[in-house]
Amino acid sequence: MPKEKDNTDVVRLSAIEEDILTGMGSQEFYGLEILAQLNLGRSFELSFGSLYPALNRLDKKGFISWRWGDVQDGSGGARRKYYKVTGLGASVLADVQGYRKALEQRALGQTNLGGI
Amino acid sequence: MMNQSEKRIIKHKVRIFLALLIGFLGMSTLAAFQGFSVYQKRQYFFQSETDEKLYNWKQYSSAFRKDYYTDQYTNTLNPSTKNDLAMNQVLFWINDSSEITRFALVEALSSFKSRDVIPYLLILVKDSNFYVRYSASKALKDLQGDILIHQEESYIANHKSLLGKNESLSEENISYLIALLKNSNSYARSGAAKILGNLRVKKSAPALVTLLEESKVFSGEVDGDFVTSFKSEKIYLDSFEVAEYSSIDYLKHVRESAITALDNIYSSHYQKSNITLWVFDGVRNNMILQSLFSSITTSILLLYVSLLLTKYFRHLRSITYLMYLDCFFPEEFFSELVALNEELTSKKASSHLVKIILIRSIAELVWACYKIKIDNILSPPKNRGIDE
Repeated sequence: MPKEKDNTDVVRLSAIEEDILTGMGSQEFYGLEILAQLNLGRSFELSFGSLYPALNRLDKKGFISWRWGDVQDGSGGARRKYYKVTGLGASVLADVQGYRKALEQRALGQTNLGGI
Repeated sequence: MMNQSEKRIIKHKVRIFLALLIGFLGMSTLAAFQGFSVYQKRQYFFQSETDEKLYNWKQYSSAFRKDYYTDQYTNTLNPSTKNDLAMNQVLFWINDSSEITRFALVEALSSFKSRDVIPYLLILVKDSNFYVRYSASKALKDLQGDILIHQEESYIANHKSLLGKNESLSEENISYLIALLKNSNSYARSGAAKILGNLRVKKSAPALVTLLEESKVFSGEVDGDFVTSFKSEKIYLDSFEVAEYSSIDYLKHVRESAITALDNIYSSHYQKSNITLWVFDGVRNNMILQSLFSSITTSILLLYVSLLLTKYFRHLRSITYLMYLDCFFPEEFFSELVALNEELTSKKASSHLVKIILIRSIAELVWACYKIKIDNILSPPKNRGIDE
């Protein structure tokens, strides 16, 4: 029983978390890059205020991992944090997107049937 | 001659100093603003200096009242114990030529709280002096002895005239009564306080407060003049030793009169005031806490904003370490701000726009930081990531 509960926790993905995982793909990004990636053509812009809590949640679920980057010039010694989607994250995203595709096809199939 | 490196170090120090100075000035302004708002609240609750003094007095008055009603003084002059002897000695004053002495006698008689004094008060209610008459009349009323004399036409007429006079007490009379508050005879002071209270002479409030303050509530100091007169003339309770008297605070009856008078004068004011003062205490405590927390948070924000405005990004982190603020603002957030600044600069955005976007981003990051901390408290992280 506890395993089932864990699974439901893991599979649960919010819209913004899904966007982040999709936007990151298999590359490494730091916060501002993720924002730039997600805000391109988006109807409402995401901000740091919603990005970082979402990254924190994804990190806790094990869907992303991070590493410290090198010290940047002019940053006074501050390092960037680079995020990457983990295998588990990619698998969960694939599951969710697969389900969406199946749902879409099912809906499409029903429409076709209805049309006959 | 300084070399480039030395120049850079000096420049660096000057920048840090300027940034800290701006932060400090900002914090001072904030503190001054908070101080001013406290002052405004204070002004709202204390409309005058007298009211503030009364507030202070009110703080210990309840403690005093409890003390008064259980003290040795009341027990010593209890009618069932030594009152007969005491009264005989006091009556020595009834034919005294000094109106203040007769006035004090009325006060002394009324303090016995015994119906045995009614015959003497009936004599004094016809006294030539207005204040003696008034005090005797009031004492009779307090002792419910006035029922006995209501039949007496002369008394009724006298009482009515007294009431008529009370309503239009002249400035001269008020001054006389206020001056009596400084009389060496404690019963005269007590009596004057009672009359001023009964007549609700608001003008006398400061003098009454002064009287309270000078009577030294917690010191237990004995009325020196009274003890002196006791020693020399042996009036009042003759069988008592001076040593016993010295343990009794005779000024308590003066204070009680002054308190009652102030209660009368401010009766409506105090009922409201007690609540507002109580609320004020709560508000003040909350404000102290709020200002403490908001000062810390706002000061940090202010410092960052001031650093941003002066564009001293390079030293932000060193100052962050210096002030142990790293726990508040994570390293990666700082680097995001630097990256954002670089991006905006590369796009050749106006400095005004850069500032606005950066300030907004700081607010967003602070909010994100707060949300993450709350999230982590509610569900602690299992995976802490890979720190390479």
